[in-house]
Amino acid sequence: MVVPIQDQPRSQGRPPDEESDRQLVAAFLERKDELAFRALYRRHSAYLYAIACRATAGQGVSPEELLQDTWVRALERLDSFRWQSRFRTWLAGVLFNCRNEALRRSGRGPETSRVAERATSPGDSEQRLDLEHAITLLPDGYRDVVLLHYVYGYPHAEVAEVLDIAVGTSKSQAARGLQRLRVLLGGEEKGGAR
Amino acid sequence: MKDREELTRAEQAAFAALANEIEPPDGLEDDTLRLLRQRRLVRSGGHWWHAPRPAVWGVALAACLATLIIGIGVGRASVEPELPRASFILFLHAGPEFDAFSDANFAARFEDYNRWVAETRGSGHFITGEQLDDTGVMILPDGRGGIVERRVSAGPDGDMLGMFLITAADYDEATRIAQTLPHLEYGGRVSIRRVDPV
Repeated sequence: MVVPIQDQPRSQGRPPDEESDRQLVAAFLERKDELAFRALYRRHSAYLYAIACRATAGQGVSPEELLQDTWVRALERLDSFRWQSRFRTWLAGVLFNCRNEALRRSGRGPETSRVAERATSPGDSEQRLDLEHAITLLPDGYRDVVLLHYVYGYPHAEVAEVLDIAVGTSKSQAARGLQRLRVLLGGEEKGGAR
Repeated sequence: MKDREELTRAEQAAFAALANEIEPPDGLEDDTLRLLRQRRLVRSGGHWWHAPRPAVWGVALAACLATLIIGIGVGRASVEPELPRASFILFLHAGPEFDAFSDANFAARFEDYNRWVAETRGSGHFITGEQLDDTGVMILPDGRGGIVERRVSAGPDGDMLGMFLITAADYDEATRIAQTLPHLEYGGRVSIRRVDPV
Protein backbone atom coordinates (compact mmCIF):
# COMPACT_ATOMS: atom_id res chain seq x y z
CA MET A 1 0.00 0.00 0.00
CA VAL A 2 1.33 3.36 -0.87
CA VAL A 3 -0.96 6.08 0.20
CA PRO A 4 -2.48 5.53 3.58
CA ILE A 5 0.58 5.82 5.70
CA GLN A 6 1.26 9.22 4.25
CA ASP A 7 -2.24 10.42 4.80
CA GLN A 8 -2.59 8.73 8.10
CA PRO A 9 -3.71 11.65 10.20
CA ARG A 10 -1.93 12.19 13.42
CA SER A 11 -4.46 12.16 16.15
CA GLN A 12 -4.38 15.91 16.82
CA GLY A 13 -5.97 15.51 20.20
CA ARG A 14 -8.80 13.28 19.08
CA PRO A 15 -8.52 9.69 20.16
CA PRO A 16 -8.51 7.41 17.14
CA ASP A 17 -11.54 5.24 16.79
CA GLU A 18 -11.17 1.89 18.47
CA GLU A 19 -12.38 -0.24 15.59
CA SER A 20 -9.65 0.93 13.24
CA ASP A 21 -7.12 0.41 16.03
CA ARG A 22 -8.33 -3.17 16.22
CA GLN A 23 -7.89 -3.64 12.50
CA LEU A 24 -4.41 -2.18 12.51
CA VAL A 25 -3.36 -4.30 15.45
CA ALA A 26 -4.80 -7.37 13.74
CA ALA A 27 -2.91 -6.48 10.56
CA PHE A 28 0.28 -6.07 12.54
CA LEU A 29 -0.13 -9.31 14.42
CA GLU A 30 -0.81 -11.18 11.22
CA ARG A 31 2.21 -9.95 9.29
CA LYS A 32 4.41 -8.04 11.71
CA ASP A 33 4.79 -5.57 8.91
CA GLU A 34 6.41 -2.20 9.07
CA LEU A 35 3.55 -0.21 7.68
CA ALA A 36 1.05 -1.39 10.25
CA PHE A 37 3.52 -0.45 12.95
CA ARG A 38 4.12 2.96 11.42
CA ALA A 39 0.39 3.55 11.28
CA LEU A 40 0.00 2.69 14.95
CA TYR A 41 3.06 4.73 15.85
CA ARG A 42 1.75 7.78 14.04
CA ARG A 43 -1.65 7.45 15.61
CA HIS A 44 -0.52 7.28 19.18
CA SER A 45 3.02 8.56 19.56
CA ALA A 46 2.31 12.27 19.84
CA TYR A 47 -0.09 11.49 22.66
CA LEU A 48 2.31 9.08 24.36
CA TYR A 49 5.26 11.38 23.90
CA ALA A 50 3.43 14.25 25.58
CA ILE A 51 2.72 12.01 28.56
CA ALA A 52 6.31 10.75 28.50
CA CYS A 53 7.69 14.28 28.60
CA ARG A 54 5.56 15.15 31.61
CA ALA A 55 6.01 11.84 33.38
CA THR A 56 9.80 12.03 33.16
CA ALA A 57 10.43 15.73 33.71
CA GLY A 58 13.27 16.24 36.15
CA GLN A 59 13.81 12.52 36.69
CA GLY A 60 16.74 11.80 34.44
CA VAL A 61 14.75 9.57 32.12
CA SER A 62 14.74 10.42 28.45
CA PRO A 63 11.20 10.73 27.07
CA GLU A 64 12.50 9.61 23.67
CA GLU A 65 13.94 6.43 25.11
CA LEU A 66 10.79 5.96 27.11
CA LEU A 67 8.67 6.20 23.98
CA GLN A 68 10.88 3.66 22.25
CA ASP A 69 10.76 1.33 25.24
CA THR A 70 7.00 1.68 25.31
CA TRP A 71 6.62 0.56 21.71
CA VAL A 72 9.06 -2.31 22.13
CA ARG A 73 7.25 -3.54 25.22
CA ALA A 74 3.85 -2.98 23.65
CA LEU A 75 4.72 -5.00 20.56
CA GLU A 76 6.20 -7.75 22.71
CA ARG A 77 2.91 -8.06 24.53
CA LEU A 78 0.48 -7.04 21.83
CA ASP A 79 -0.87 -10.52 21.27
CA SER A 80 -1.88 -10.72 24.92
CA PHE A 81 -3.90 -7.50 24.80
CA ARG A 82 -7.55 -8.47 25.13
CA TRP A 83 -9.25 -5.17 24.31
CA GLN A 84 -10.78 -4.88 27.73
CA SER A 85 -9.66 -1.27 27.71
CA ARG A 86 -8.99 1.31 25.06
CA PHE A 87 -5.83 0.58 23.12
CA ARG A 88 -4.47 3.99 24.00
CA THR A 89 -5.16 3.41 27.68
CA TRP A 90 -3.27 0.16 27.49
CA LEU A 91 -0.34 1.89 25.79
CA ALA A 92 -0.30 4.52 28.51
CA GLY A 93 -0.10 1.74 31.08
CA VAL A 94 2.84 0.23 29.23
CA LEU A 95 4.50 3.64 29.20
CA PHE A 96 4.18 4.11 32.94
CA ASN A 97 5.50 0.60 33.57
CA CYS A 98 8.52 1.34 31.41
CA ARG A 99 9.02 4.67 33.17
CA ASN A 100 8.95 3.00 36.58
CA GLU A 101 11.44 0.39 35.44
CA ALA A 102 13.73 3.10 34.09
CA LEU A 103 13.55 4.90 37.41
CA ARG A 104 14.36 1.71 39.28
CA ARG A 105 17.31 1.03 36.98
CA SER A 106 18.62 4.49 37.72
CA GLY A 107 18.32 3.81 41.43
CA ARG A 108 15.27 5.95 41.92
CA GLY A 109 12.02 4.19 42.53
CA PRO A 110 8.86 5.85 41.34
CA GLU A 111 8.04 7.02 44.83
CA THR A 112 11.45 8.41 45.75
CA SER A 113 11.77 11.48 43.64
CA ARG A 114 14.13 13.69 45.57
CA VAL A 115 13.37 16.66 43.38
CA ALA A 116 9.70 16.27 44.06
CA GLU A 117 10.15 15.91 47.77
CA ARG A 118 12.34 18.96 47.93
CA ALA A 119 10.17 21.05 45.69
CA THR A 120 6.97 20.37 47.54
CA SER A 121 8.39 21.27 50.90
CA PRO A 122 6.61 24.22 52.55
CA GLY A 123 9.46 26.59 51.94
CA ASP A 124 9.06 26.35 48.19
CA SER A 125 5.39 27.05 48.17
CA GLU A 126 5.86 30.79 48.11
CA GLN A 127 7.36 30.62 44.69
CA ARG A 128 4.72 30.94 42.05
CA LEU A 129 5.04 28.44 39.24
CA ASP A 130 3.20 27.73 36.10
CA LEU A 131 0.96 24.74 36.17
CA GLU A 132 3.06 22.55 33.91
CA HIS A 133 6.17 23.08 35.99
CA ALA A 134 4.24 22.66 39.20
CA ILE A 135 2.96 19.25 38.06
CA THR A 136 6.52 18.10 37.46
CA LEU A 137 7.35 18.99 41.04
CA LEU A 138 4.69 16.77 42.56
CA PRO A 139 5.73 13.48 44.11
CA ASP A 140 5.47 10.81 41.44
CA GLY A 141 2.39 9.12 42.79
CA TYR A 142 0.47 12.37 42.81
CA ARG A 143 1.91 13.56 39.57
CA ASP A 144 0.95 10.50 37.58
CA VAL A 145 -2.62 10.61 38.82
CA VAL A 146 -2.92 14.36 38.31
CA LEU A 147 -1.57 14.03 34.80
CA LEU A 148 -3.91 11.27 33.79
CA HIS A 149 -7.01 12.45 35.60
CA TYR A 150 -6.93 16.21 35.49
CA VAL A 151 -4.88 16.82 32.36
CA TYR A 152 -5.84 13.90 30.14
CA GLY A 153 -9.30 13.34 31.56
CA TYR A 154 -8.99 9.68 32.48
CA PRO A 155 -11.74 8.54 34.82
CA HIS A 156 -10.40 7.13 38.06
CA ALA A 157 -11.12 3.57 36.95
CA GLU A 158 -8.79 4.01 33.96
CA VAL A 159 -6.17 5.82 36.02
CA ALA A 160 -6.22 2.85 38.36
CA GLU A 161 -5.79 0.48 35.44
CA VAL A 162 -2.96 2.41 33.84
CA LEU A 163 -1.02 2.85 37.07
CA ASP A 164 -2.02 -0.48 38.54
CA ILE A 165 -3.42 1.06 41.69
CA ALA A 166 -6.78 0.93 43.42
CA VAL A 167 -9.51 3.29 42.33
CA GLY A 168 -9.63 4.71 45.82
CA THR A 169 -5.92 5.40 45.68
CA SER A 170 -6.39 7.25 42.42
CA LYS A 171 -9.09 9.40 43.97
CA SER A 172 -7.15 10.21 47.10
CA GLN A 173 -3.91 10.93 45.26
CA ALA A 174 -5.72 13.13 42.78
CA ALA A 175 -7.23 15.12 45.63
CA ARG A 176 -3.94 15.43 47.48
CA GLY A 177 -2.08 16.22 44.31
CA LEU A 178 -4.53 18.97 43.53
CA GLN A 179 -4.12 20.41 47.01
CA ARG A 180 -0.36 20.43 46.61
CA LEU A 181 -0.64 22.03 43.22
CA ARG A 182 -2.77 24.80 44.63
CA VAL A 183 -0.19 25.45 47.29
CA LEU A 184 2.63 25.36 44.78
CA LEU A 185 0.81 27.78 42.57
CA GLY A 186 0.32 30.22 45.38
CA GLY A 187 -3.39 29.77 45.97
CA GLU A 188 -4.89 28.34 49.08
CA GLU A 189 -7.65 26.07 47.86
CA LYS A 190 -9.10 26.93 44.50
CA GLY A 191 -8.06 29.17 41.67
CA GLY A 192 -4.36 28.55 41.96
CA ALA A 193 -3.80 27.21 38.53
CA ARG A 194 -2.95 29.76 35.94
CA MET B 1 -13.13 13.86 47.58
CA LYS B 2 -12.27 16.42 45.00
CA ASP B 3 -12.81 15.37 41.45
CA ARG B 4 -12.20 16.83 38.05
CA GLU B 5 -15.61 18.43 38.06
CA GLU B 6 -14.75 20.30 41.25
CA LEU B 7 -12.02 22.31 39.62
CA THR B 8 -12.57 25.99 39.17
CA ARG B 9 -13.12 27.13 35.63
CA ALA B 10 -9.66 28.64 35.58
CA GLU B 11 -8.17 25.35 36.74
CA GLN B 12 -10.14 23.38 34.20
CA ALA B 13 -8.91 25.68 31.46
CA ALA B 14 -5.33 25.46 32.72
CA PHE B 15 -5.39 21.66 32.82
CA ALA B 16 -7.10 21.43 29.46
CA ALA B 17 -4.42 23.63 27.94
CA LEU B 18 -1.83 21.02 28.92
CA ALA B 19 -3.66 18.16 27.27
CA ASN B 20 -1.92 18.84 24.00
CA GLU B 21 0.02 16.28 22.07
CA ILE B 22 3.70 16.68 21.34
CA GLU B 23 5.20 15.35 18.14
CA PRO B 24 8.18 13.13 18.88
CA PRO B 25 11.48 14.29 17.37
CA ASP B 26 12.08 13.62 13.70
CA GLY B 27 13.85 10.34 13.22
CA LEU B 28 12.52 8.70 16.36
CA GLU B 29 10.01 6.69 14.34
CA ASP B 30 12.79 5.22 12.20
CA ASP B 31 15.04 4.70 15.22
CA THR B 32 12.24 2.85 16.98
CA LEU B 33 11.62 0.76 13.91
CA ARG B 34 15.31 -0.13 13.73
CA LEU B 35 15.19 -1.25 17.32
CA LEU B 36 12.08 -3.31 16.69
CA ARG B 37 13.72 -5.00 13.73
CA GLN B 38 16.79 -5.83 15.78
CA ARG B 39 14.52 -7.53 18.25
CA ARG B 40 12.62 -9.22 15.45
CA LEU B 41 9.37 -7.64 16.49
CA VAL B 42 8.87 -6.16 13.05
CA ARG B 43 9.74 -8.00 9.90
CA SER B 44 12.81 -6.63 8.23
CA GLY B 45 12.90 -5.94 4.54
CA GLY B 46 10.80 -2.80 4.49
CA HIS B 47 7.19 -2.73 3.57
CA TRP B 48 5.11 -5.82 3.51
CA TRP B 49 4.62 -5.57 -0.18
CA HIS B 50 8.29 -6.09 -0.82
CA ALA B 51 8.76 -9.36 -2.60
CA PRO B 52 9.81 -12.13 -0.27
CA ARG B 53 13.30 -12.26 -1.68
CA PRO B 54 14.33 -15.82 -0.93
CA ALA B 55 11.15 -17.09 -2.54
CA VAL B 56 11.60 -14.86 -5.56
CA TRP B 57 15.17 -15.91 -6.04
CA GLY B 58 14.18 -19.49 -5.52
CA VAL B 59 11.49 -19.28 -8.17
CA ALA B 60 13.80 -17.44 -10.53
CA LEU B 61 16.51 -20.02 -10.08
CA ALA B 62 14.05 -22.86 -10.59
CA ALA B 63 12.75 -21.20 -13.75
CA CYS B 64 16.26 -20.78 -15.10
CA LEU B 65 17.08 -24.39 -14.38
CA ALA B 66 13.84 -25.56 -15.97
CA THR B 67 14.57 -23.56 -19.10
CA LEU B 68 18.08 -24.93 -19.23
CA ILE B 69 16.93 -28.51 -18.76
CA ILE B 70 14.18 -28.19 -21.36
CA GLY B 71 16.62 -26.56 -23.73
CA ILE B 72 19.07 -29.40 -23.29
CA GLY B 73 16.32 -31.95 -23.68
CA VAL B 74 14.80 -30.71 -26.92
CA GLY B 75 17.78 -29.16 -28.51
CA ARG B 76 18.98 -25.63 -28.69
CA ALA B 77 17.28 -24.60 -31.88
CA SER B 78 13.83 -25.58 -30.76
CA VAL B 79 13.70 -23.30 -27.72
CA GLU B 80 13.09 -19.65 -28.26
CA PRO B 81 14.04 -17.82 -25.10
CA GLU B 82 10.99 -16.13 -23.68
CA LEU B 83 11.13 -12.40 -23.99
CA PRO B 84 11.55 -10.76 -20.64
CA ARG B 85 8.45 -9.09 -19.37
CA ALA B 86 8.72 -5.37 -19.13
CA SER B 87 8.61 -3.48 -15.89
CA PHE B 88 6.13 -0.72 -15.34
CA ILE B 89 5.84 1.82 -12.57
CA LEU B 90 2.40 2.81 -11.41
CA PHE B 91 2.68 6.29 -9.95
CA LEU B 92 -0.07 7.12 -7.51
CA HIS B 93 -1.32 10.67 -7.32
CA ALA B 94 -4.05 12.23 -5.23
CA GLY B 95 -5.94 14.34 -7.77
CA PRO B 96 -8.73 16.77 -6.93
CA GLU B 97 -11.33 14.04 -6.41
CA PHE B 98 -9.21 12.01 -4.06
CA ASP B 99 -11.11 11.03 -0.96
CA ALA B 100 -8.60 11.67 1.78
CA PHE B 101 -7.84 9.04 4.31
CA SER B 102 -9.22 9.45 7.77
CA ASP B 103 -9.22 7.65 11.06
CA ALA B 104 -12.56 6.13 10.18
CA ASN B 105 -11.61 4.67 6.82
CA PHE B 106 -7.92 4.06 7.27
CA ALA B 107 -8.00 0.48 8.45
CA ALA B 108 -10.42 -0.63 5.75
CA ARG B 109 -8.33 0.96 3.05
CA PHE B 110 -5.21 -0.53 4.52
CA GLU B 111 -6.79 -3.91 3.93
CA ASP B 112 -7.89 -2.97 0.40
CA TYR B 113 -4.40 -2.02 -0.68
CA ASN B 114 -2.97 -5.03 1.03
CA ARG B 115 -5.39 -7.29 -0.79
CA TRP B 116 -4.40 -5.74 -4.10
CA VAL B 117 -0.75 -6.34 -3.33
CA ALA B 118 -1.46 -9.94 -2.40
CA GLU B 119 -3.47 -10.55 -5.56
CA THR B 120 -0.95 -8.88 -7.80
CA ARG B 121 1.86 -10.80 -6.17
CA GLY B 122 -0.16 -14.00 -6.53
CA SER B 123 -0.52 -13.43 -10.27
CA GLY B 124 3.23 -12.94 -10.58
CA HIS B 125 3.10 -9.29 -11.58
CA PHE B 126 4.12 -7.61 -8.37
CA ILE B 127 7.69 -6.52 -7.76
CA THR B 128 7.65 -3.88 -5.06
CA GLY B 129 6.08 -0.70 -3.88
CA GLU B 130 7.04 2.34 -1.92
CA GLN B 131 5.14 5.01 -0.19
CA LEU B 132 6.65 8.47 -0.25
CA ASP B 133 7.00 11.07 2.45
CA ASP B 134 4.36 13.76 2.59
CA THR B 135 6.92 16.36 1.67
CA GLY B 136 10.16 16.46 -0.21
CA VAL B 137 12.48 18.75 -2.07
CA MET B 138 12.73 19.55 -5.74
CA ILE B 139 16.01 21.01 -6.96
CA LEU B 140 16.18 22.87 -10.22
CA PRO B 141 18.38 25.38 -12.02
CA ASP B 142 17.77 28.94 -10.91
CA GLY B 143 18.56 30.30 -14.36
CA ARG B 144 21.74 31.99 -13.15
CA GLY B 145 23.99 29.02 -13.07
CA GLY B 146 22.95 27.95 -9.62
CA ILE B 147 20.53 25.52 -8.08
CA VAL B 148 17.39 26.38 -6.22
CA GLU B 149 15.50 24.12 -3.85
CA ARG B 150 11.74 24.00 -3.59
CA ARG B 151 9.67 22.14 -1.12
CA VAL B 152 7.14 19.82 -2.69
CA SER B 153 4.33 18.00 -1.00
CA ALA B 154 1.84 15.31 -1.83
CA GLY B 155 -1.77 16.30 -2.21
CA PRO B 156 -4.50 17.05 -4.71
CA ASP B 157 -2.35 19.44 -6.71
CA GLY B 158 0.99 18.26 -5.48
CA ASP B 159 3.49 15.56 -5.98
CA MET B 160 2.92 11.84 -6.16
CA LEU B 161 2.05 9.78 -3.13
CA GLY B 162 3.82 6.57 -3.96
CA MET B 163 4.53 3.92 -6.55
CA PHE B 164 4.20 0.27 -7.38
CA LEU B 165 6.62 -1.56 -9.63
CA ILE B 166 5.04 -4.39 -11.58
CA THR B 167 5.86 -6.61 -14.49
CA ALA B 168 3.56 -6.87 -17.48
CA ALA B 169 3.82 -7.96 -21.08
CA ASP B 170 2.91 -4.54 -22.43
CA TYR B 171 1.06 -1.34 -21.71
CA ASP B 172 -2.32 -3.02 -22.15
CA GLU B 173 -1.63 -5.57 -19.46
CA ALA B 174 -0.05 -2.96 -17.17
CA THR B 175 -3.12 -0.79 -17.60
CA ARG B 176 -5.47 -3.68 -16.83
CA ILE B 177 -3.56 -4.37 -13.65
CA ALA B 178 -3.51 -0.69 -12.70
CA GLN B 179 -7.26 -0.50 -13.19
CA THR B 180 -7.73 -2.89 -10.31
CA LEU B 181 -5.96 -0.60 -7.85
CA PRO B 182 -8.23 0.45 -5.01
CA HIS B 183 -6.60 3.85 -5.30
CA LEU B 184 -8.90 4.60 -8.24
CA GLU B 185 -12.00 3.77 -6.22
CA TYR B 186 -11.05 6.50 -3.82
CA GLY B 187 -10.70 9.12 -6.54
CA GLY B 188 -6.96 8.88 -6.84
CA ARG B 189 -5.10 8.90 -10.12
CA VAL B 190 -2.54 6.51 -11.48
CA SER B 191 -0.01 7.16 -14.19
CA ILE B 192 1.72 4.24 -15.84
CA ARG B 193 5.22 4.35 -17.23
CA ARG B 194 7.28 1.55 -18.64
CA VAL B 195 10.82 1.28 -17.34
CA ASP B 196 13.10 1.83 -20.29
CA PRO B 197 15.31 -1.26 -20.40
CA VAL B 198 18.13 0.81 -21.88
